[in-house]
Amino acid sequence: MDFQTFRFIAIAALLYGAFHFAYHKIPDEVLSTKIYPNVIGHFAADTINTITPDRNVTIKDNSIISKTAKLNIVRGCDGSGVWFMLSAAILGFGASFRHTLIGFVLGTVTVYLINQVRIVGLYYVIEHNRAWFPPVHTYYAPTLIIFLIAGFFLVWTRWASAGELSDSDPTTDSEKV
Amino acid sequence: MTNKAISLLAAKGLAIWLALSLLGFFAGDKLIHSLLPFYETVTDAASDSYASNIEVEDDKIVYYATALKAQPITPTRSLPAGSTIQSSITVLHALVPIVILFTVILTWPAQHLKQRIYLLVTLIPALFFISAATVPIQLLGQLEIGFQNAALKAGLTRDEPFVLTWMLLTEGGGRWFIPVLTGLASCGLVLKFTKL
Repeated sequence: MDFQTFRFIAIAALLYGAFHFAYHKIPDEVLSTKIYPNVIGHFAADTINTITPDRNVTIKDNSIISKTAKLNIVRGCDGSGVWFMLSAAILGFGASFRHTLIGFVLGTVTVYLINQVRIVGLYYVIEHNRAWFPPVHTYYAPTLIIFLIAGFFLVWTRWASAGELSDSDPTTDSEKV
Repeated sequence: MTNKAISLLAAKGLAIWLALSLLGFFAGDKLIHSLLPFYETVTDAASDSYASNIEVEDDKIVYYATALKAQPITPTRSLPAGSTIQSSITVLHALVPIVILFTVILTWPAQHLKQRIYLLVTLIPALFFISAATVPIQLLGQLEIGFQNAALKAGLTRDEPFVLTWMLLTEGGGRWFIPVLTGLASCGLVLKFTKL
C-alpha cells in the first residue's frame, strides 16, 4: 500500500469517527421533533402524496403516517452514516479546496436524494408487504446505497484529479487551443 | 481510465453486488454458521466476564452469555454469577459488511491473473478482520444496552463501556465504512506487491 492510500484511509477513518461522535451529541428529541419532520418527513410525504394522492400521508414528529402504513424515521435512518462516510472520503482525498467544496455539496445533495428515495420506497414496501421490510431495510438498501455512493466518489475523484492536473500543467491551455 | 472502462466497471460492480446479495440472502446462514467459533473466540477475548455460546436460530445469531462472576448493574443489583443472558442480531445484519467487502475486492480491476489471485487470497484475512470488528461487538453491545436500560430504570447512569461505544459507531454506519476501507487497504497492498 502506498503512502497516499494509507493517508487517505487513516484520515477518512478519523474524520468518520469525529462526525459520528459529533452526531451523537445531538439529542434524540431534537432529531425526532425538529430535524426529521422538517428535513426528511415533509418532503417524503409530499413525494408519496404526489405519486399516490389517495394515501393522504401526514407527518407527526418523526413518523410518516397513512391509513395503511406507518414509518418511523429514527437515528441512523437519516442517511447520516453514508453522508459521514462520503464526506470523510472527500475530505481525506486531499483535492483542492474548490474541488473538495463542490464534491462535498454535490455529495450531500446526492446522499439526501438517495435517502429520500429509500424512505419513500420503504414506505411503499411496508404498505405492500410488511415482511419485505426487514431484508430491504437492513440488507439490500444499505449495500446498494454504499455501491451508489462509491460510484459518486469514483466519478468525483476522476473529475477532481483531472481538474488538478490541468490546473498544475501550464501546457494544458495551449494544447486545447 | 476511459468513460467506457468506468461504465464497464460500474456494470461489473452492480452485477457482483446483486449476485452476492442474492447468495447471502438465500445461503448466507451457512457462511455465518462456519464463523460461529470465530465469533465465540472474539467475544471471549473482548470480555472476560462471560462464557460465550453463539448459535444461529432461525434467521438470528443468538449469543448466550453466562456470567463468570457477578455483574454489577446498579449499586444494589447485579447479575448473579452463573446466570445466562442473551442478545441477538439477524443473520442479514451480519452479512452486510461481508457483502460490501466482497463487492469492493471482487470489483477491483485487476491488471493480471496473479493480481486477481492475490486479491482473492486477501479476502480471507479481510473477512476475519471485519467479522471480528462487527458481529461479536454488536452482540456484547446489545447486552450492555440491557444493563444501561436497567440502570436508567433505577434512576442511575452507568459508564459507557468500550464495546457499547464501538457498537454505536459500527451501527451508525461504521459497519459499512470498515469493509470499504478494509477492501481498499487489501487492494492497495496487493497492488504494491504485484506491480508488473
